[in-house]
Amino acid sequence: MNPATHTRTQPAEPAPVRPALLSCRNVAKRFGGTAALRDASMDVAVGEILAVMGPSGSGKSTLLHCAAGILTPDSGEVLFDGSSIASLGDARRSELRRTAFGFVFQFGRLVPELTCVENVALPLRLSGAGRRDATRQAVSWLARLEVDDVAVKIPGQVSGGQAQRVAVARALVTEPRVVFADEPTGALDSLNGERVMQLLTSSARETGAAVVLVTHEARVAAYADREVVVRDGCTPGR
Amino acid sequence: MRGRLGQLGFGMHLAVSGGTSARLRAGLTAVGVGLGVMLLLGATAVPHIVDARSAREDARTPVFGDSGGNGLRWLATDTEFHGHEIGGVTIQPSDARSPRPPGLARFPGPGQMIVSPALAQLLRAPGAVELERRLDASVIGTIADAGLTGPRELRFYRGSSQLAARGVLADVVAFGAAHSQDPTVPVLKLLIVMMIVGLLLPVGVFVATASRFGSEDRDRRLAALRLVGADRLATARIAAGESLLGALAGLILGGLLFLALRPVTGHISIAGIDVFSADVQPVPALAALVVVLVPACAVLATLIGMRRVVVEPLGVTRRGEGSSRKLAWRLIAPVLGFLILATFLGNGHGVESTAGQLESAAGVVLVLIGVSTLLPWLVENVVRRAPDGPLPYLLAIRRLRSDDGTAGRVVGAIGLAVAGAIALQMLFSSAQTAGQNSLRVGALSGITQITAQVRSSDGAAAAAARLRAAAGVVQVIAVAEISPASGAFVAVASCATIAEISEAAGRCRNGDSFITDGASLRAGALIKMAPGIRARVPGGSRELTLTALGAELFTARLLLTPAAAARQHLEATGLTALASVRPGASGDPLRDAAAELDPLADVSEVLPVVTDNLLVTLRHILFAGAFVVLLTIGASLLVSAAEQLRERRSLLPVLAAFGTRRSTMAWAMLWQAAVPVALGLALAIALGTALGALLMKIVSLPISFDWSAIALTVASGAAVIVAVTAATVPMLWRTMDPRGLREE
Repeated sequence: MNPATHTRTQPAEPAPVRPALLSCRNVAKRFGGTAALRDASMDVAVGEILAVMGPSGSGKSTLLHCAAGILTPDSGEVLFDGSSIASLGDARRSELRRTAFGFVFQFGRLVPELTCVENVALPLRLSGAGRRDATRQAVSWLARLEVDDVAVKIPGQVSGGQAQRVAVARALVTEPRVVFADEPTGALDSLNGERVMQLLTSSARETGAAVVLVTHEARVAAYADREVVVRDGCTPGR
Repeated sequence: MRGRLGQLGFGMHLAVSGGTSARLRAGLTAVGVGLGVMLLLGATAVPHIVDARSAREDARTPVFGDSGGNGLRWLATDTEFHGHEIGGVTIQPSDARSPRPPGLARFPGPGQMIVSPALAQLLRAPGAVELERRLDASVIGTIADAGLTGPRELRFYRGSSQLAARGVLADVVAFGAAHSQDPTVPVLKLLIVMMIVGLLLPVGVFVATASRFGSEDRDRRLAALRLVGADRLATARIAAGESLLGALAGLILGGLLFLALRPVTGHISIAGIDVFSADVQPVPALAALVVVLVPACAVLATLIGMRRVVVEPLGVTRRGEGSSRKLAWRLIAPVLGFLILATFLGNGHGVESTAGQLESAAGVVLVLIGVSTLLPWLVENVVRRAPDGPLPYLLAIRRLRSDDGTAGRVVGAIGLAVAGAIALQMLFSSAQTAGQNSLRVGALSGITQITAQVRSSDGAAAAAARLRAAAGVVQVIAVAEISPASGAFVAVASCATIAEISEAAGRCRNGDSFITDGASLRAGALIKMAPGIRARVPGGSRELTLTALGAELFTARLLLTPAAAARQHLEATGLTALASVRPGASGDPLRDAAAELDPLADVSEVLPVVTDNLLVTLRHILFAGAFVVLLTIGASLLVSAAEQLRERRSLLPVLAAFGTRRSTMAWAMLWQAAVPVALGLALAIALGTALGALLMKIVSLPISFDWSAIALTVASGAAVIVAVTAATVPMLWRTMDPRGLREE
């Protein structure tokens, strides 16, 4: 097996080969004199959960940001549904992130002055949904993630684990096709981390969303169908 | 004690060694405080500027008396060119011992003039040929600073040999009036007090806002100190030390800025006010107060800001929830202010005494402070009850709800300035209306009065025709005067002119004569005009009542028609004319025509408004001050907005990451600024009009509301918000850049 990249398969039933929903091909990105990514590639299939692993500073978050259209690669290409993201304008990429992608970050990053339910409803309202409809859907997602009891609290009044589950609900509420999760359990204890991962992956599988999961913890990566290892800005073996 | 000072010192050390963020915070505090100090030092120089200006004015005021043969003949010949007022005097010394006006190294000879540097510059400018022709003298030198009230003043001294022939007496015996008595009446004293309060309090708010920049990072650092054993008081002292460093640096910066900009003050003129750099000297006692109070204010602002923050070893929490603001103590200042002012009702002259001035000043200050104290409460309560709305509005309202009152405090400065300005505008407007009514010259709007010398009655007729022919002139009413310098007031006018300036002249034929002052003139009486010139009041002269316009501007007591004057062989030597210029047309052609007729002609505009110099000067200072205040408030809001964006630098890229439009956040910023400002303006209008009405009542002026001025003031406040939001947008967009996610 390639030491840098391997595919975890179900022992009884091998995963069928699925067409790539999101592809990064030979992506390179520099920040000033530092090369964060030199030659990174990865494919994510519809409904697939992919773990991007690597040591600190290896470039895995940069790869996630390039894949999500947050950063524009210096070279290489990022294809979503067969179309290049890099060639899209800022407005179109924002729209893509609003409608087709969802995000979970390490510390939740909820808007502190909005209640939890308003935070979850935020992406829907950004997409033009009415307040009542957005709130109804947000409440439903909070319930699925077992945090409906904190719906009317502001983030400062809930625990880290609850806040992260609210953030997962916010990422999934628009039923995105890809969820990007950057160290989603990095700020949680193991118990809360496990629960968040269970809820994230099960909810994503229910909605058919692919998940790109950046982590350096093998325990978290174990929730993924497949792993890509990034080392020194490259994905060796790809 | 030593330990406490050590903690202060440690705080100052942290401000320098606490990383980029701490240094940035100290730097921004220094810049903010520095700007505030510069403005405050400028304000402390105002008393000296006013004194110096009036001393300069006094020093050049001519003293008239018995000259004993070596006096100076002095004729004011002010003019106006392209809207610039030009002060001018035509002089004729009796001999070399005649008193010389300050700023003149020598007397200009006939056909020569000595001008201010600003007038010299104007005369050199393209298109000033007409002015040069009008003044009709060659420039031989410039007036030194000692003879001018400001560096931009337009003034000339012109030499002449004709003044004696015109009957101008050589009675200027010296220059330098005694220091003018304080001419301020109660209304003006109130205006001055209000202006000082209105202009200075926003600067204080700015200093407080600037000194709290970056408080979130500071709080985190303090939490770390708590973790290693610092108690609450120690952390407060360390925080004070951090602010103190920025404030002290700001003090030095402000002092340097003041010194650096002082020479520039000689080159700028705001709303017609210009000062010599040398006159911009802070009053030492006030400057000392600034040096002590500004750092104290910065430290106090830090400590007050920390009241709602609990710094614990494991982090910082804000006491936002549950501790709502109390209304009762916030009402104390405005209610007390109104009660103090109410004691002057029916006793307007009570404000003339020193005690009365202090008391009324305290009343005005308390009412205006009321805007600042009430606004945070108002903002908090309105925002708490505000319904949800569109997303940008929702984000703004929620942000305001979680805010610790910064918005209310910053906007409080706008509210205070607007309330002060509204009350001032009402006072100005009412004072002007009252003055206008007392003069009863409302009908004379846009009329210019010309007094010129002519050689004969025919010459007078030709002069009137020349004035009528000037571009833009629509009507001229002219009266030829016989020996006007004699004081006998005999004039020659056509029947048409007499009909214009009198009420019910009845039938008038050429050859008729009229008496306008029946009490002292009788038919057949002989009037001595000048040596060898006498006029007899013709028999059959009828009494005539002049119109208000005629009585105000024509002083003739015996009016002769041309044939009546010819019968007595009386020749005109002067002409007084009233000319109307088409609305919007320049008065320059008329002035040029008058100067052509007589270089020493007196041309003055008859204004429909009170021209009390002090009132006008105060209004100019108010506008100049309002401009500075708006800049200060804009800077406060900008600092506050920048601080907010900095606090949210980790959240905004996340919002951008999941597709939030930039416009959504820009609108949220606008709403966030607009809601407190709208509330601030509403409160300011309410308190400002109430204060204005009360002040007018105290000084017995009719209560009137100057709605256009209120609208203008409100629009200016709103414009500041829009400008600040527009200035914040690039910063917002930079902060929203999703690449900011990398920094986490």
